[in-house]
Amino acid sequence: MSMARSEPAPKVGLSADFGLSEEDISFESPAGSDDAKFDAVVGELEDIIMDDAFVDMQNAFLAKHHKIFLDAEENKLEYMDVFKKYASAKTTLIESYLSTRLSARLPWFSMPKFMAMIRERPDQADGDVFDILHSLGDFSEFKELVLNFKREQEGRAIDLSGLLAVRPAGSKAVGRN
Amino acid sequence: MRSSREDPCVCHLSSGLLSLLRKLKRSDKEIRILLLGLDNAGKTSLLKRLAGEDISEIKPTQGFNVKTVQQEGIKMNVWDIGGQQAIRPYWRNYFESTDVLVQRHACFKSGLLEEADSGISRAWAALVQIYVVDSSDKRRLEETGDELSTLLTEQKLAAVPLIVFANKQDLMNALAGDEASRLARLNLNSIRDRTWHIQPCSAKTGDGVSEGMEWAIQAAQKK
Repeated sequence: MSMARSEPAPKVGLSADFGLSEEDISFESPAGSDDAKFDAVVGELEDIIMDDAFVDMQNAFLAKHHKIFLDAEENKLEYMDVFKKYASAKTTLIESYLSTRLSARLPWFSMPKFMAMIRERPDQADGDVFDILHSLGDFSEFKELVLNFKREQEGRAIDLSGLLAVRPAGSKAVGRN
Repeated sequence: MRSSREDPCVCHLSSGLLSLLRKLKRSDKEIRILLLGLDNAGKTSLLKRLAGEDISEIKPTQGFNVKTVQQEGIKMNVWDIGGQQAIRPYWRNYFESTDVLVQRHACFKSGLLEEADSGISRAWAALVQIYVVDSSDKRRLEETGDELSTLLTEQKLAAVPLIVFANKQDLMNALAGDEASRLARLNLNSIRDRTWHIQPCSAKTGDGVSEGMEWAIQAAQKK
């Protein structure tokens, strides 16, 4: 004769605040909620990449390293070192932010389990955020990033405001709104 | 130039998640190609030929060139590294894609050790090595043979498909591909750990170049 067992009641508090249903709470829930979990994590990833902290980190890095870069087709050997440092630092920063934020906001979150989930459903890795992540490993994009920064620093960025000055053609009556 | 050193304090923060996501985005339609060989072999000429650019004013490469070229719907990210003696020690900086480098920084938490290992071999799946030889430079065949032999012992290049471009076939005194290979003691026939191919070519006229790249594409996709 089987005995009735009571399941522990799922916690709803925090998850309700983030628009997640009760089903999304544990990894043992039905398959449908895996999508919701995945989307939740991707959403956080997108927020993180846009975060000011990353723009600041990037600018600090570029300020430190842009001087050795020249606007020429051939690359110096040193560029590779800088590129590797950049990709490595940015990746680690994003991952540590992600880990911290996800654990704080999504109480059920477990990085190893999430990664196991991704491995099983690789087709879901689609969208802008993944393109951005992919570009972290692209040297040519990185070089362009550095050169743009360099141009701005050295004041060679095209300043269009000077081209848009409007002068009245000889008229004395100049009306200004 | 100092090589970047791993920062142990930072290591534990990295889960390897981004590396995994990047790996998933890698398509069969992307290949990374490493162009190596002695100085004056014709690597940069070959790169420019692939990119459809003018090759009349090429100077010795002091650093490296990177270009992305397309052939048959396949995107090839081609890296041409300077071959002068002083630059050859830096070749190893280019063996790994950044994906693999970041993977190595990742903390090996439970379940991720296997991921890291399989991730490394999958990251290499899209790499092809092109070794360029000046078929007319008999004096330096032994030297180029030595450099290639060394490359073939590199752990990070293990199992990477190899094409030897026997370049400068447009010159009167150029040796045929297999003759150059024999004299350089490349011992290609004894290679067991990877697929290889000799492609006679002329970066100057374009002969043999797209055939060689076709082999590269097929070799990369077999992995």
